[in-house]
Amino acid sequence: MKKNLKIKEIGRIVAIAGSILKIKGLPSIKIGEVVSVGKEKALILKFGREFTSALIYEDFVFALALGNPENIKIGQQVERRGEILKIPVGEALLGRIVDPLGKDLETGRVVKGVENRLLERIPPEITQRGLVREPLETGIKVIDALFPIGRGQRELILGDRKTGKTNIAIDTILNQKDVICIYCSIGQKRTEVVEIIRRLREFGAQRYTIFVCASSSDPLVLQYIAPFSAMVMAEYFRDKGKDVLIVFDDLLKHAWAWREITLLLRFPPGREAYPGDIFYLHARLLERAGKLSDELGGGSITALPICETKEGDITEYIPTNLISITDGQLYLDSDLFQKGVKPAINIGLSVSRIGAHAQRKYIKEVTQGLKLILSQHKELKKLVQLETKLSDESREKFRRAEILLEIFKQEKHELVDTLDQSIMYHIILSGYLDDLEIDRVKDFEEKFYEFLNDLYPEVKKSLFRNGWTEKVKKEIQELMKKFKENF
Amino acid sequence: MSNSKRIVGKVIEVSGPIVEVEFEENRLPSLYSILKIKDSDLLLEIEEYSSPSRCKCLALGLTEGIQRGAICEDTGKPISVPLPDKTELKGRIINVFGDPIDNRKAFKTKEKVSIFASPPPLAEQEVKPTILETGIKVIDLISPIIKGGRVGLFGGAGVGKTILLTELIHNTAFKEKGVSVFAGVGERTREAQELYSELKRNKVLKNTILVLGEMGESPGVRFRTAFSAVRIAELLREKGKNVMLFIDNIYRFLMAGMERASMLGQMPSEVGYQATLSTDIGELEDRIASTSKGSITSVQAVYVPADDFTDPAIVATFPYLDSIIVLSRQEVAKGNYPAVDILASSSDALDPSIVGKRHYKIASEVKKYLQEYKDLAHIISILGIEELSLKDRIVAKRAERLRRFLTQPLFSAESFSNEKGVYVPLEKTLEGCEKIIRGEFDKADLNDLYMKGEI
Repeated sequence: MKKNLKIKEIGRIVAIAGSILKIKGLPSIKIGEVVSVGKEKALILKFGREFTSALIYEDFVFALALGNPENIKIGQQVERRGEILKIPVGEALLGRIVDPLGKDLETGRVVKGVENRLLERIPPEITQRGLVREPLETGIKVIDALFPIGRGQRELILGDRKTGKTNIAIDTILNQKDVICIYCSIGQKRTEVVEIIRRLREFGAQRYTIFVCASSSDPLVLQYIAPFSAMVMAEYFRDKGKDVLIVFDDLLKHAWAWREITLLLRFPPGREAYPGDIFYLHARLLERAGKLSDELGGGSITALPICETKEGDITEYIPTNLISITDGQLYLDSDLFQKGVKPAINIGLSVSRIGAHAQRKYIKEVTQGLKLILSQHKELKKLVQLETKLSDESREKFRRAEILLEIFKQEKHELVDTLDQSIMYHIILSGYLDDLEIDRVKDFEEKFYEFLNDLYPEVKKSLFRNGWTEKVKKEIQELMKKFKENF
Repeated sequence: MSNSKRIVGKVIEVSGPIVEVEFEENRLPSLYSILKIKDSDLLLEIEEYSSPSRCKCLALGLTEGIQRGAICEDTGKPISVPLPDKTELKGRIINVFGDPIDNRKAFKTKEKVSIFASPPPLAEQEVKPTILETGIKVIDLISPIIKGGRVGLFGGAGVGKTILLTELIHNTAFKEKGVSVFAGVGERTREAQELYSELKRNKVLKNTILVLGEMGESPGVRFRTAFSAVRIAELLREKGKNVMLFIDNIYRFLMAGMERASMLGQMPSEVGYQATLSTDIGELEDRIASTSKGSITSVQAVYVPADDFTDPAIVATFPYLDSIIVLSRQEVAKGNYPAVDILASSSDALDPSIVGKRHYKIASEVKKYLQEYKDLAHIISILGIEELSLKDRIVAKRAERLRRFLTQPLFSAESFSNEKGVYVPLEKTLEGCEKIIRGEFDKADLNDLYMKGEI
């Protein structure tokens, strides 16, 4: 008899402030549970006492509206649904634009996944992890050469507004062939999101990409959930042995959303009014990215979190937190951007801590040389500007570095594969371009790739198969001779 | 505690990671006791008493799914770790609670002791300044390590901190026949994993105990992990062992303390750090001491936020360190591995009465050459070395050769460099430097000195 008897717990809304709902009742509610308020839903984030007047306190439950709080009335009944928030995962999400709860924003229906999963999950333990050893190539020359990214790496993209952060992420998605991509937009303007998705679709990335969006006008709590939802969706594919790339655009706005929520819920504010768990928030999110061991299928999640800086200050609280969590950072410099250097990656302040282990051999071998010619470029440039005469060795180094930096300039969506790149770097390092004027470098590059791919595709093949053999080097020497005759 | 009946309370408030539990009036469990929530894996640590019937606790995990009114049981104990003489901890990875997390067999004995302890009384503390040879030329010469002392390894990320730590574990574990304890505090799990596979490859894992509380863990866990590791080191010391304790990273320990204090709503101090910054570091460091029974030599990695050596957390850490090794990006760029910034590194042991006159003189001489070379570097890049005066040319040549000589292939870097690691006895390091200073290598090719052992 007793088994069939269901006791339904109810509560009542006693106060509304923004999207925060204060509820009386619900004696055995759980944190993270979803409740119904009429047609709307809300997420439970806190319960406990609050002073209602001097020396009198009462117990309340606090929830955040998952929809429009204007549809919620004071005194309205709150019903338990008996479940912790879960997110649908599965192949059905591919190609769609969804909100963080898995609702297709174009059809308005919740996507039916293979299963529903909890938002939070413990990051893989040491013994469950594999080493990051395969490359995730971006097609962006300066990144593939100097700051290579490996599958399972977390590489932060940071810089001031309008310095091309999102473009790097988009290009990286466009360059993928066998990787599932998730673009998670947090707290951005709707119009911006629409434009980004349009571009990704235009270049054919839709097939293998999921778009998770919580824009600035969406409920706060959705902005807070968004990166966790995206991570849950990524883990589904990773657990099946696939490689996933996930872009968080951007985590500063995510930190703001969490700060706003916690301040409204009266969690004690810490440094810069962020709650004490702000580091933990991003650390536990990004620690879930990584490479799994072969026993667990060898899948990986590569994460490219984006973080906006103010006036290039990377020593601010959220940027430093993210720098210490990730495996490297690409720092975009607004001064470089203004000078027309695109992508505006500041070579001195960017780093990839593990990518070199994952780089393909043929590009890795030339990268060492590139680092060497760039190592004193900044100091040498100052001397050149002062019209100081350099020693022969320094002059050669400076010149090659200048050519290289010119080669690194690249318009968005014009991606170059790592074989073309490696050959170009070899040419620079061998001194074949020492007599080329800087303003002809771009012209040379464009024509050279065409020449190489049209007339000598077998050189690339042989480089790919056998690496830098004497034969390949010789062939390049010869084809350079031929090319120069007509250039 | 001997009471057979456990104290039971219930959850009345959850506000982020802070959980309030109500018990019978005036019958509260002890401070720092661990509470278990029924039907959940979550553990709570009691931090404060907020009234005669309420405890304010810090969740040692996520509070998602915690039910209003959920039953909490006092375990009667604070965080505890297994006794290293009764449980085989060597070669294992454990978490803050001393439980194995390496997917291997569980521990047989369940006996554990609290991680809280007092530092040894002054009368028992003992540091005879004897030098612990590391076989790493640049460290033995410039920042000699005192047995039973504390070493700070300062550096940003990606300058080879982990490799140098691994090398120190490798070289000292072999020689001292002692035990190493590695505490991974608030760093990336990926790094701990790389360390683990390096230790395994170098066959030093069997003498190492890894205690991990990395950044995916809650602030409460990260903070206590340092204490768990120190407790194990203390227990080994009491059994007469000479222990090497490696902590990566002390800054993350202090940061976890900050997060914890801020969540508990404590008043913040300078730049948002916890009011208890100096007591936090003091409580930990004072326990890392050596006694007449055994010694704890500690090597602590210290991340310097934004390269700011005036950061309150760094300032609070400095006074506890005897040797300071600074790793720099410039040295990495020049290919000088290990990338120690020789001019910025120092040691209290570099004193004629401890290392002897000869060592002291050579170390000072090396620093002098490098400082003079640094002043000349600008001119050299414009004019080239040949344009210097004869005297300066000799300085530059010897400085370059000294710096090159103080590089060395490391055992822990074998997998990157394909070069066999070498162990160089201090005597050979001193001899080598003397020879270079005397000018015996002035004509030698720089490459003959690069990444070599003895010369």
